[in-house]
Amino acid sequence: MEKLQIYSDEPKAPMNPAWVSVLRISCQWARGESMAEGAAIALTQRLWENGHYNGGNPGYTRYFRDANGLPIDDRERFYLKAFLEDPWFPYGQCNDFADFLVCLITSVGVPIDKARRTHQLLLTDDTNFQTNWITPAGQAPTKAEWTYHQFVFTDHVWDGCLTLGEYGNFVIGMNFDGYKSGLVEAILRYDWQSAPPAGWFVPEVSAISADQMPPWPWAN
Amino acid sequence: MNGWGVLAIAAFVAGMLAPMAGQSRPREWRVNGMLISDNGTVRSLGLTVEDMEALTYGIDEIPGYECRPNPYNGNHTIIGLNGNGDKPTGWLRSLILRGWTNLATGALLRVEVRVYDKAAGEYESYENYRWGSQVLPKLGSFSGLPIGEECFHYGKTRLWFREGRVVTEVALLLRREAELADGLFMEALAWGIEYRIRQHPKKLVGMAQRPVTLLVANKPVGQGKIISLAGVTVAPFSALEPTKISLETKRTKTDWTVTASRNGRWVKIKAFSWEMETDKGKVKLERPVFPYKGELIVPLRQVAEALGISVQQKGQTIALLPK
Repeated sequence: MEKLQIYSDEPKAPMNPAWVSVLRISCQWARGESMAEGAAIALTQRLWENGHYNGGNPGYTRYFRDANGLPIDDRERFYLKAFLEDPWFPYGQCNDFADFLVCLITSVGVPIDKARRTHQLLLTDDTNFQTNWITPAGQAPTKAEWTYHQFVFTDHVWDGCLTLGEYGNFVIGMNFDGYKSGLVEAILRYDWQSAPPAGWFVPEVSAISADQMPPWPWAN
Repeated sequence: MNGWGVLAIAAFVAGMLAPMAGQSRPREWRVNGMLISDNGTVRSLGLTVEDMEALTYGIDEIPGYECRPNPYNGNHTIIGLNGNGDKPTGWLRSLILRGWTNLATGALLRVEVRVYDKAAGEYESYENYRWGSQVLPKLGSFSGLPIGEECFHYGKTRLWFREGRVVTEVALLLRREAELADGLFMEALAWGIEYRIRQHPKKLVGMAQRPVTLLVANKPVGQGKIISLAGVTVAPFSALEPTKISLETKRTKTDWTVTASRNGRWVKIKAFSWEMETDKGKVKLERPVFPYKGELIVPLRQVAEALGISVQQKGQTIALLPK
């Protein structure tokens, strides 16, 4: 029988009001945790354990552009309903994992509510860095070459998309510098940027179905 | 509550419902692990659920894989009809997305087909995908053969191609991608989708395809099922039956193999393989074998010649001449 999970505070944006479909998962994954940090840790770990990283291809997020057609870095739309309905749920690239982790954590009232990118979108047209050994969700340990990465960050880093190092260390409340040095083996082009100009935002969530999602890459 | 109160509530409800009168709303329903939605309240592509299913593999059509409903949402297939069809202008699209699980390894296989209201190149192209994702795509297929009008791939496990009004993505998710990934398996799946696009009863490719006529003893056979895939004619194995071949099909959950024999010569083909076994050894195929409506589709000339059948082509007419 499902137990009602009660936390000390009400759901936060973007999960305010919280979606029942998200609460159903967050309550299941954070069962037994009553403190904010414990819930955030459990949700990050369960997301990695249940997730399927898609190899870094477009998934359930779309970007915004300005009147000149240039990408805006401080916004992102996450198609949460479509993500929840995917036959391989939880499935997507780093944006999807970060935005969904924000939804999970804020749904139980913990104020960890922002996703952060390592690079401006305009700089993502080529590989920017090589990772150390990581284990993406649902995959074997690997080293990857990425144009950017996205994770959850307020004053510490939370990342349900990967674990670090040979021993698979979870990224649960790491400090930013420690996370970066753990993840990056070599900068191949542009170093990680501060935010701004790189994106750092509360993701917008959308309740439309997969067929209603606009073609890649624009939300507007 | 007095009479005025009841009246006030009734008036409020009527006021709420009045603006919705005459409007059709998007529909969503579930059938056997399939989540289906239709947003065509204003515009429609005219494609049905069956039309969309005809564009991908059946739930039991890929040997070694089965469709398992996702434990969290119960879905193995998403069908979305008339996406954006609740607005009077802009893109209009229907899609089908289906996931399979490998019976032995647990690897996840995924095929997504999207059909637009006009040439898909107006909405999706390689250029659109050249930034904004963590990993960049590479132009071309795994084999180097041209699938559709444009194709690109990511790593060894994801292939994208566009043909007419249709975009297709085939992806495989493995725990040990580096060791196990087989891009050619993904590509064989993609060629099967390309065949389905060209076979589709609703016109999905821009240029009308000139039909291929196959003659055996001057009689047409396999009408409508014989087409050219990027210059190579493919046909269902059954199209060769009038040449007096005997066919033996072995189909289990993990294997789909057909052996054809004729006058002491034989060929053995397997679903999604790029080669065939023959009485003279293994032969690499110009196009992979794939299933369609309960049959395996094969490269016609190579298979016929391996069985001792001469193939003569004049324009769009091909004659099989048993020796």
